[in-house]
Amino acid sequence: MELAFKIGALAGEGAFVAGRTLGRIFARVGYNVVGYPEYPSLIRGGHNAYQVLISDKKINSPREMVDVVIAVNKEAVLFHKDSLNKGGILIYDATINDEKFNIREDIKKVKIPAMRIINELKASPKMKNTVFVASALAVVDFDLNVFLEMLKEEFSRKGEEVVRLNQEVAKKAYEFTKQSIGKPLLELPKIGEASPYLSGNEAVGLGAIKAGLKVYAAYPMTPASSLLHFMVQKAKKHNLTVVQTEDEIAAANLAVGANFAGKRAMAGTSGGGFALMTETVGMAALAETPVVFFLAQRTGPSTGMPTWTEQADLFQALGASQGDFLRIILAPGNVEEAFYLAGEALNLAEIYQLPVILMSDKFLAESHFTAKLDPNKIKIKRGKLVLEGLPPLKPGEKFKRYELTEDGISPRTIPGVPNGEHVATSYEHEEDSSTTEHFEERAKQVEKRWEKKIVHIKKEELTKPKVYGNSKIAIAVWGSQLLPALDAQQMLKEEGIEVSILHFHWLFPLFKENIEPIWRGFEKIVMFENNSSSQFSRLLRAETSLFPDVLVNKYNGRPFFPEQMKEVMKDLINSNFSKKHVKVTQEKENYEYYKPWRYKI
Amino acid sequence: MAGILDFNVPEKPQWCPGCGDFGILAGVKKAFAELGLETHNTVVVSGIGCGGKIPHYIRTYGYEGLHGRLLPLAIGIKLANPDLTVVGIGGDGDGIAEGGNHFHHTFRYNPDIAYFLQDNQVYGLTTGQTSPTSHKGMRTKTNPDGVKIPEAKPVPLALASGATFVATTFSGNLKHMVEMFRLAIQHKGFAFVDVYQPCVTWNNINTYEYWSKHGYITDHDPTDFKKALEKAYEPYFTNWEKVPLGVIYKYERNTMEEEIGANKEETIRDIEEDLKELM
Repeated sequence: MELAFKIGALAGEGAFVAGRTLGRIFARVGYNVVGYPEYPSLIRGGHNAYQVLISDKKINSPREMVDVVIAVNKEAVLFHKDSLNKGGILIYDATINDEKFNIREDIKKVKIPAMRIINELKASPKMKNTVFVASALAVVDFDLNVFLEMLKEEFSRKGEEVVRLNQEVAKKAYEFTKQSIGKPLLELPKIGEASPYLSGNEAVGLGAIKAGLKVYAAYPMTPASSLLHFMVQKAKKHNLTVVQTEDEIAAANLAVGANFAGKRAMAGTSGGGFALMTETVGMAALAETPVVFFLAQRTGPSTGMPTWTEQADLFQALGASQGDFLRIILAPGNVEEAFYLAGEALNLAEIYQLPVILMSDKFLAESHFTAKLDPNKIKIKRGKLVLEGLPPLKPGEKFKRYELTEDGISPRTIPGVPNGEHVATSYEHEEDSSTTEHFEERAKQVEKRWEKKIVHIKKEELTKPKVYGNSKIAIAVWGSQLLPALDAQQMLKEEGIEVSILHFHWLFPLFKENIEPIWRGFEKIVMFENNSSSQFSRLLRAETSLFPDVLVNKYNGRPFFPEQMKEVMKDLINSNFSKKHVKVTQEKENYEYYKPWRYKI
Repeated sequence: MAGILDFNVPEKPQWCPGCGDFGILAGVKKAFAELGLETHNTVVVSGIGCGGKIPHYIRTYGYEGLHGRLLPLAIGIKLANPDLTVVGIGGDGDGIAEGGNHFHHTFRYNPDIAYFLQDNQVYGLTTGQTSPTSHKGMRTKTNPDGVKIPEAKPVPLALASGATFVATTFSGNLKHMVEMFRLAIQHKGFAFVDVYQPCVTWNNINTYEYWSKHGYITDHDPTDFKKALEKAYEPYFTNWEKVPLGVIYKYERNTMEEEIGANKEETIRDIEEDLKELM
């Protein structure tokens, strides 16, 4: 089974709280859940929506069409009524005049007098969320006790009365909905044990903490801000130092400073903030100070559409800072990878003593997913870090921080360790860190930093793309677009069409030897990129001479929906791959969240 | 405990003969030795400019970072290991022009870091352009007819930004400078020393003679904020006739490390409970 809810409300009315709560309720009794928020860059006056998709099987991505719409305001009826599947349910506030909307005959309408329920119980209007969550649960004949228990956990710190009132409101809304609906849409029993229900950003945070992250520095910017909030929340318990700096330049430099002094540190931002961090990326590379930058992309360039998603900062990450230098760029495909790769990013930065850029995007960063995470899989590897027992130095002598070694990686030590005195420097240097403009020394250091290290990086298993499935036809994706790809693969299978997925979570450096044998295993490769210029395909061609048979782009602010990927693949297969380029710009639900007032309803 | 010789490196500083940076370098090493600092527990952080080369000439740990960014870099080091003595040294272009945003916010944060501004009123390494602290009327490469825009005021800016320690000194007066450096390093909090320093190549106005003539040792009560403001503005109100040298202002409040909790304990890597909370 699979069922999708969508809660729509005026910005600030709590669609996200209600949506996340609903998601957690189903996650708690064993369902797989995907939660997907959409909102404009406004605090009040815009429209917000949160989709909750549940299934007893593994699911990965929000849908274009849903089964239950919960409309807290009238815009939500207009926006979401046509994305209801046949026979779907529209729950809406009783104050909304439904005659204004051309609601399809097959849709079952359920009117909820939310304010009447609240007023009768002398409860707070804030509890409107509780009404709608309870109504949604009634539609699927779900055990209300799970929600009542959750309300207790949520509100017990606000006192017994708040808990009691919320529970009363929930019970009343639940009963009311059950009566008005008659037969429930379907019945959802408990099917298993609880799983964590978390966002991509929370997964990055927990993975990093597990890998020993000590310092997190950031300037607020959507969609990276929720990681900053999460780290602040975890700071006391995990002895973290979390700093909101005056700008992104400070955040980047602070993270480099902390790493130099021996503590694992990360700076997080989105594209605009990363533009400010770029000079620091180069400094970390030249000084060989390990550091991780978390880059959660959004729709650009410039301010773009701040709360929507895109995968268009790859070239920025690749070209950040002047000069030739090696960096590693990773892009997790789901929360599990976000969790493990956050740990790996910190390891790789220390092992190879270079900057690592961990790329996410609004879609993965802020959506929620149930996931089975195994913290024990994250191991700390600090490379050639020496913390004691350095041999005595002669008077005036400095530690050979940039010693030329076979593998290009020099022993590293940190302030506080005797006999390790040296300068980490943004200037070209000799082995003992003193400044140089000597041609041979310069050439040797350049080779050390790139040519020698890359030989060893090539051996990392992580550099290989992952394949899902056995078909000779592949959907290729990078980063978060693994999510819709996995579901599109399943949908196609249900229609008797087999496709594989080729997923790139390692974006740079790319190794032809590690990719080509896998790539050549496919007859046709269709690359879906959530950008307009196929940045990854172009990078792949430059680095490996490999290029997809078909490019598919979406750049309207939303991720690919699996239904869209499915349709594109069907068309391509039916036309024997006659097209080289497909653009996906049409949406089933095509209303603007930023200016809901333009629809004059 | 290290003696002054332990801070020496064999490498000769490559500054113009007579550069004020030689005095500052000698002063920093002397202050370190007098305070009994250890070479391995001390970090000198710089940005870019003539003076930015200074970490290479002192045998401690060091970081030669980016132009204008030494303060957040130094804060990162201090937060990671509050036991280290962290000293930032950089020029007026570095700190007041490029790094202006960090400059005034760092006073608010008050990390336990000392910061010495190599203030020579001109751009040296980029060959003689106007600095934010260039005096009005000074002829430079970028203002051949004389600087028209009034100079930035680091000391009043520091006071307005919430400084807990502000001092001024002159690189030609080693004894006074060492005393200011020592007091700054000993101060618990962000300690700023504006070091007036001649640039013998690009600045023929603010010379050794100039600072010797106009500088005077102030003996006001540095805990009196009103008096401090008066002293901070004195050079500007007197058109640099009278330049007070000494501790301009001093008080104590919690450091950034204390306020935001630069916890020295290692991180707790058990996240099982955090995962449960998400259920």
